[in-house]
Amino acid sequence: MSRSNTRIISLIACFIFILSICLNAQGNFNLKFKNSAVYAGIEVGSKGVKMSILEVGKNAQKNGAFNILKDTSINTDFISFSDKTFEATLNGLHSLYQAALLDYNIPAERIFSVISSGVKMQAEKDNKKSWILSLSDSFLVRIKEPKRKVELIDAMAEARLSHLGIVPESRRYTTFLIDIGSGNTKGGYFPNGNTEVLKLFNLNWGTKTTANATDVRTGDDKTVKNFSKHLARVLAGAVDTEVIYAVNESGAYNMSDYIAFSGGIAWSVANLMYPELVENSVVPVTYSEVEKFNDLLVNNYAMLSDVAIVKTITDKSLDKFAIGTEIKRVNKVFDQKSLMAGTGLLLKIMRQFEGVYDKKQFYLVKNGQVGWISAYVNQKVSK
Amino acid sequence: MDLCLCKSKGFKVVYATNSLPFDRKIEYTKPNMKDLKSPILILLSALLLIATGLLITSLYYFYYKLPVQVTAAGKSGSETTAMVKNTNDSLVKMYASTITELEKNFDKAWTNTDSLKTNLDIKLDEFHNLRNEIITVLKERGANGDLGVARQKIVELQQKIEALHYTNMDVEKENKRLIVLLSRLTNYDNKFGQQNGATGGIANRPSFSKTSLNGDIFLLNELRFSAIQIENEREQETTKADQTEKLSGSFKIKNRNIQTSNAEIMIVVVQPDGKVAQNSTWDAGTFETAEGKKIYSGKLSVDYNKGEVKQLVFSLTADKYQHGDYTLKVYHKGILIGEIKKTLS
Repeated sequence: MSRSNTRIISLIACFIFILSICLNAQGNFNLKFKNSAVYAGIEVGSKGVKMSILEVGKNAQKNGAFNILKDTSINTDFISFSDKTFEATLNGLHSLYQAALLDYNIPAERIFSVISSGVKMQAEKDNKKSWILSLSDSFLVRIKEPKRKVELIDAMAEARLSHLGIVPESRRYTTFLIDIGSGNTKGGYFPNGNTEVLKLFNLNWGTKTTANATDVRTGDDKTVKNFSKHLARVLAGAVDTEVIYAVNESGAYNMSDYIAFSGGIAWSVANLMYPELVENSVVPVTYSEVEKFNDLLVNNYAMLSDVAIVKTITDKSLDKFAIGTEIKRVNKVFDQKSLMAGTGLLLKIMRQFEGVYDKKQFYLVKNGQVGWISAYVNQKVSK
Repeated sequence: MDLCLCKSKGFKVVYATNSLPFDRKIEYTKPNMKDLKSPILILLSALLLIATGLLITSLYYFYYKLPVQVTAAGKSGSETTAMVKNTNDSLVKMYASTITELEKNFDKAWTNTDSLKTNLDIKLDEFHNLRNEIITVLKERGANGDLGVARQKIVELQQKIEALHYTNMDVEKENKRLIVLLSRLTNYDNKFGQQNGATGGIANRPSFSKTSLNGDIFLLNELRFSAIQIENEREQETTKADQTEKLSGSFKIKNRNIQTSNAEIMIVVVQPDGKVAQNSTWDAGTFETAEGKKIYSGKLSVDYNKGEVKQLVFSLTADKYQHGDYTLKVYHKGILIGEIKKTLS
């Protein structure tokens, strides 16, 4: 009797052990797709090291089916190129790799590490390319994987990968992707019906630069009203001239049906305008809708608080808590003036594609920052 | 009465045990609010009853006994005529006020009524007949006029007005219901769609015979919704979630009044977990309905010529299919024009 009891107990113990291993192997992630795989991408950027854990669905290339499971970063300021920031970057890179491998149980072959174009550009400018090589070698020594590659990505490759990762196959050759960053705006499209050549688009204005240029003009009067007045002037002046030139030069108007915007401001505006689509990575918008949103931003900012927005949600199937949390995040990252500057710049670019007869469909992409990882993963997996 | 007053003022009536029944001793007790309330109520009720009795008696004498009394008292003929005239005038006033009230209700009823029109017509006919009878009676002014009959008719008329008032209330209720129906426009679709969803997912409405309540909204017909499995490059319908590779739907639309040549039809596929299924987030978005913003699974843009029957087809490929009811909803201009369910086991 006692023997059979022991047997049952040991069987239960085995079962619990196996179950715990299985659960742990899933990394406790709530997966969205069927037949999907989890990958990690670690990127050394200008400001720090960022890790994104992605679920890539079998239809990732066809319809952009990837899902961000985790997005984390460590600020290290690598482009200062000092011993201290080097060490901090190396430690960050190593700790995030270990976390992906051990905490999230992602096999080594599904962890990709790259150094971004921003770092490359700054290193070339400061003649510090050896620092990049040194960082890469030190990392491989630490993880004891000498055969691993830490790829250095240039601006063209990053833009190309972003386009491939974000835009679904069906719209690949008809979509112009524009990434509005804090310091500049860049993007491109595939003009020849293949992914070999990407026509690049570049603008020296971003959300932060527009806000700064406005702030300088406002003087002592820091009111929103005064900011709005001067923002209109900034946008009508240098920004307007550059935007018109850059868009014309790109030749994208005639070649694209869809204009997709990514970057922080696209993420913010998408969430504030369409909180119902909290789970969607892409949101369709029209020029007039963004114009109305801009009015609300200037004249009734209180309506864009998490509480006010959640109150407007009538659909019972929606997760109000998730919506509220995301709106809080947006309002934490961007204040009213930054939102005004970014939205103003967004509208300025959109205006160039808002023809009287030929209207383009605009999209706001929320997960643009990790889009390239999805494409990079696909590229590596297909090889 | 004294007893009542005593009670109402907080006095307690105590009967002496060794005295005659009418020999009462009154002792003062502390007033109690509860004790105070009921005597007041009783007193008021009694007063009300008396007043009502007096009123009924006066009215009775006024309408029935007055002519007899006048004759019995030997009053002159002119006085009798004057009194009859007065009575007649008061009846005319009563009649006039009743008619005014009725006209008001009648107007209100006419403006609101449509579905209860037949009932109302019958009631109005009755009212008109009654009114004519009263007019005839009142025309015969003078001592010979049967005022009792006139009074009876007026009471009857008032009852009819009350009945019409209730009818009017029904009409208003019906109108409210119709307004709700109008805003949804598709109550009759729901039942139809659900019935078909349970039996395999094909909704064949007989024809486009039903008129759209709103002129520029499409009428929907032959709504189909099925789960598809692909085997050896051949598409087959399935009812199993695990075998499903895509969801497919089709329907026909028609409108004889529509003015625009371009239209957008919103497709909403609600999954068993209540969330909206999407092909790709690039195809999804939101649209306005009477119930607020809704997420659509896809949008169909249609080039449409007035009066033509247009067949539309769509398909939806998800990464995962759940067990349970999938609901397909079709919207035009924010109004639900078709709905059907498909159960996947």
